[in-house]
Amino acid sequence: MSKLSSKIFYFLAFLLLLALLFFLPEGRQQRLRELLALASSPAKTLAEIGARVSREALGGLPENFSLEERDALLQDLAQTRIELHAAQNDSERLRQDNITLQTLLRLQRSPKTHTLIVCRVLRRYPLSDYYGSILIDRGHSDGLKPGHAVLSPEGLVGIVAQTTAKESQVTLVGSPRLSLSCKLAKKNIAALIHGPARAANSSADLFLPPQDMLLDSLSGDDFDSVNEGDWVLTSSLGSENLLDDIPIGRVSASETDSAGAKRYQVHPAAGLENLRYVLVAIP
Amino acid sequence: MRISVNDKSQRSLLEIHIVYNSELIREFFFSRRGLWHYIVTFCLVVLLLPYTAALQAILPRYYATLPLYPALLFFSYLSLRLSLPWVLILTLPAGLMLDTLQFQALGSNVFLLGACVFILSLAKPALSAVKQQYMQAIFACTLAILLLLSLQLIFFAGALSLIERLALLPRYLLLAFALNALAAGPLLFAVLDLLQKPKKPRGT
Repeated sequence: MSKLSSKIFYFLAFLLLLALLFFLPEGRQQRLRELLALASSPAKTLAEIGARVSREALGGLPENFSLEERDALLQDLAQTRIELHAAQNDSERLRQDNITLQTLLRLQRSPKTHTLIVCRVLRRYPLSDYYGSILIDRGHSDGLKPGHAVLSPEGLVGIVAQTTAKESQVTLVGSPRLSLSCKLAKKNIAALIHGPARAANSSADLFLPPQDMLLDSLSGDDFDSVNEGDWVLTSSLGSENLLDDIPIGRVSASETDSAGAKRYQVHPAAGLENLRYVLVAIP
Repeated sequence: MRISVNDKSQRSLLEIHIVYNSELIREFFFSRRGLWHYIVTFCLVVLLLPYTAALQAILPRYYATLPLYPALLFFSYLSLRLSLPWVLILTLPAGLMLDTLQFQALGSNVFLLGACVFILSLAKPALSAVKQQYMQAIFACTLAILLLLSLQLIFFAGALSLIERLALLPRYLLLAFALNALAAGPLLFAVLDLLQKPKKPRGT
């Protein structure tokens, strides 16, 4: 065997081994990942020390920052913090007033509160499920549960699917596995919304954005009054863990299914391309 | 040293001679083709492989815009000095560590490193023909960087359009070339060569 052909043979064998690695079951991948994290932790610590020391030696400033720019940024930050505290105080005062007034009026329902937790996106699956799921750096030790809404400033991004102590798997709105109850804004209509349908074992949309979501099973007095451009919002009807009134998207088109019932396409409000940080709403 | 077992009439039943031949022992361990060379190579791989992989994963957190790839440079060096099967096997632990530390799908970085190593091994005869060691390092690192960035933009650029991908290439490539191929690569090659190869004795 010549040198070139032996090299090609070795590389093909390597690619075969790599393919096996890609198709390892998720549980085994997780175990392998934990083992590797443990094995690489001394080297990681050493590398972090080196990088931190060099960073401090260079002045500890972010790249392309002068001292004046840093001071201006810190000043802005301090000012924003003061304004935030003032806004929080106002909000708390209004909430207390609201409760007092409700008590005076003998209203039973107290306003729902919720907490927003900022999470960093740890991992996306570029080759297999880019628009289907993400991994975030908060888990059930931070109060997250399956069913909590994950959102960006534009709207709903996905739903927490599984949680471990420190990490959570999120099913994105581009995933065919997503299905949740919803309602239409300003209309008395409840419905179900599903992720875009995808043919089984299809891998054609690896790098393409997902298609629109599907809205069906409409119920309510005005179920036939859905128009293009109507906002679709989350509803806590199906799960107590899901916060109400988070925008999912707008109705973009209507169609009729094989049974003759109307269903609608919904264009998601939030983009899924550049997700680095997301919010989890805990009701 | 001489050890002997004698009978009553002082005849030697068993004799053991142990001779300490310092010259030969030194040659066995520390000569140019001695055991020392393999021990150093092994130590370099065991220590530098996880360290460079960790450094490559950690650096973007501290220097977000500096495209420095220590693991790739280390593998460029290995692919010129070791045979292809060994280097391909070594890409497995390094790539998997990178995947774990960067929270990527297992195998992504193994593929990138493996592909770079394979192409470098194909170019090895041409690179070895370059007499100056620093030029060899520059060429090898340039080729590795070009390959890595191209593969990253082809396979791991998310939903970017083709034009956006092409627009990113020169921006990354110029800085990466300057950092890796002109500065860090030749330095790493020189240090590793210095550690690995003892100087030739004079007159040989």
